[in-house]
Amino acid sequence: MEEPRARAPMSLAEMSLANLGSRIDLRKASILLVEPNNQAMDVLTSIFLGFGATHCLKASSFEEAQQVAHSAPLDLIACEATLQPEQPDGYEFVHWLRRSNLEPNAFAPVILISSHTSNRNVSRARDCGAHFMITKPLAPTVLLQRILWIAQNNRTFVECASYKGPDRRFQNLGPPDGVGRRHNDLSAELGDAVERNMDQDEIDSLLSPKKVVR
Amino acid sequence: MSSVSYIRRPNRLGKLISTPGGRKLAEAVAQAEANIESMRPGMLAEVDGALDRLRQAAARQDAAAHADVYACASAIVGFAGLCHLKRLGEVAYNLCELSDRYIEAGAWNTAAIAAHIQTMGVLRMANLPEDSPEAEAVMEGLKTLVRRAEEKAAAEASQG
Repeated sequence: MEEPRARAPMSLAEMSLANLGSRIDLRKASILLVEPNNQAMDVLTSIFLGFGATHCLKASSFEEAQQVAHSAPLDLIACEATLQPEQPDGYEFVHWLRRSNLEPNAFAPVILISSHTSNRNVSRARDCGAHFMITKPLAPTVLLQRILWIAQNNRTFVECASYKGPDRRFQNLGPPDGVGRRHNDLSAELGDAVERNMDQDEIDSLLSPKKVVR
Repeated sequence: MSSVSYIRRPNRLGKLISTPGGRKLAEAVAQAEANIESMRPGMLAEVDGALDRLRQAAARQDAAAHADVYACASAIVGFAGLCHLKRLGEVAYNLCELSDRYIEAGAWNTAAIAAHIQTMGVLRMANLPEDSPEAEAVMEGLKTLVRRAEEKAAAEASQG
């Protein structure tokens, strides 16, 4: 099957829903909504219905969310960070999901939702493996921006001992203060040239490689 | 040294979202906002319920009371802004910040917490326009009350 043509990646700042004439089709998307409060679940559902989603799966606790993750492939997860008292919360659910080895759900896009992130939870929010965190009250425009951004920027997943989730780097600014932290990082200071300058033909041959015909 | 793997997976959401059909973005946002608006009475009831539970939690002295204050304030943040009670939501958010800081520090300033709860009560009952001078005055009054309460607590702590 032919892959759809890749769009140019868009920065979060550029994603202002400026092109309101373009379309979003969530009819075939399988979306898991995790929210313990019934009224808040109704709000979340009504927003996704407004976006045109038709297949929303609902869970009100960590265990229910786990069951759904085991039972169906998910295209998007919107999860409240605070779940039932005295039980694992939304951060733990995302952490578990990323390390669950469930295909394809371990790599599903996750948007965490929170009214307020306590000091204790700031690092957990950063490290659990969610794509985005958005704050309540839920603004449909903000939620749609994040969904579109996730859909148009297929982030590489990073797996290491302390983290598994989408690549969290949004900018490549080089090493802090121009100084690398590894022994083999090059110095920011440029020395004198030790070879002759390349001529234009050599530069052109580097920039426009030719196919080799055997 | 720990190893790092980079994994790429097909962008299922991207493929689904860009299939022909669906809704224009402007229509999707408008429909979602209309759906939320239709739920306003239920959300107002949630705000009022959380405000009642907040008053009860603030009056308690047990170990869980502080966490309950934080949880109730957090619940109000989630609904107030959707019911056109932006100021009330701001005060609830400030209460989340304050109670979280107190819980972390193992301190609790009852007067500062009470000032937030009273202000939320005023904003809920008075139905002031969000940007009116009266609403602004209520918010300024809260800042003054909280500053005085914290200065008083700090002075007592330094004396004791």
